[in-house]
Amino acid sequence: MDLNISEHIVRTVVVAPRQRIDAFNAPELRAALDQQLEGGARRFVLDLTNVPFLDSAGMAVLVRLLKRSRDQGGDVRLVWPTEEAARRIIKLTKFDRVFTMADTAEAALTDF
Amino acid sequence: MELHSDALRLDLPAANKYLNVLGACLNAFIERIEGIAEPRVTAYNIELAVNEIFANIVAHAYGDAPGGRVDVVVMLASDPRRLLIAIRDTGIAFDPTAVAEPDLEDVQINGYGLFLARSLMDDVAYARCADGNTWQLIKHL
Repeated sequence: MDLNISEHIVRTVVVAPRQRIDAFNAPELRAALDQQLEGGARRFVLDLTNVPFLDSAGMAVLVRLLKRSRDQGGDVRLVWPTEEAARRIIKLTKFDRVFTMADTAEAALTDF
Repeated sequence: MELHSDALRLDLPAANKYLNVLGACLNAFIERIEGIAEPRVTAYNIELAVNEIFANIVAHAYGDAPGGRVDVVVMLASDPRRLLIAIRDTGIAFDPTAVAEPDLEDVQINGYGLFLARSLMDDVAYARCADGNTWQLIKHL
């Protein structure tokens, strides 16, 4: 049989910060995500489950990642934070319409 | 704002490194106010609003230069019960009218800070004074 089989692997990474994300440490998160992008990762799951606080600088990092990954054919999924107030901020800013949201990292991974 | 006897005053270096200190103080202050509806959400929202103004001062009033200070006064007022937060700096003037509201239908990287502060508080007022800037935030409790 004449078969031409090719394998396409798209690297997906799950990033799960476990502390508050604010204007002080958002640059550190941005640098870590940039490093993953430059290393070839295209699909990202940002697991916010254990992020107790997220400010606009942290949100800017998420949007920047979304734009950069989509520019390179990838995408970003967000896992809802456990903190109710943080969930409401995601709804207030309509991030839940821009990002595909998931309840767990496992669910986000199956969604790509 | 007239300084009430039980007002809390914080004198912080104008650096984002201290955002967690500011947040912890605000949360501790609010934690002991009785009868707040949804206390955890309310405290988070107030912390986030003040966090955004503080970070804005660090970036714009002081241009991320070291040496600046930010004075934060927090007090509970009555009739109606509300939390008053005054934030002062001695940096350059800021024009809040020049900041466009974010287009929520088209996600963007920047521009959510003041939007969040205004959305989460009942009032956010800015004034330029002779020696700096004053922000006054009000949240009815």
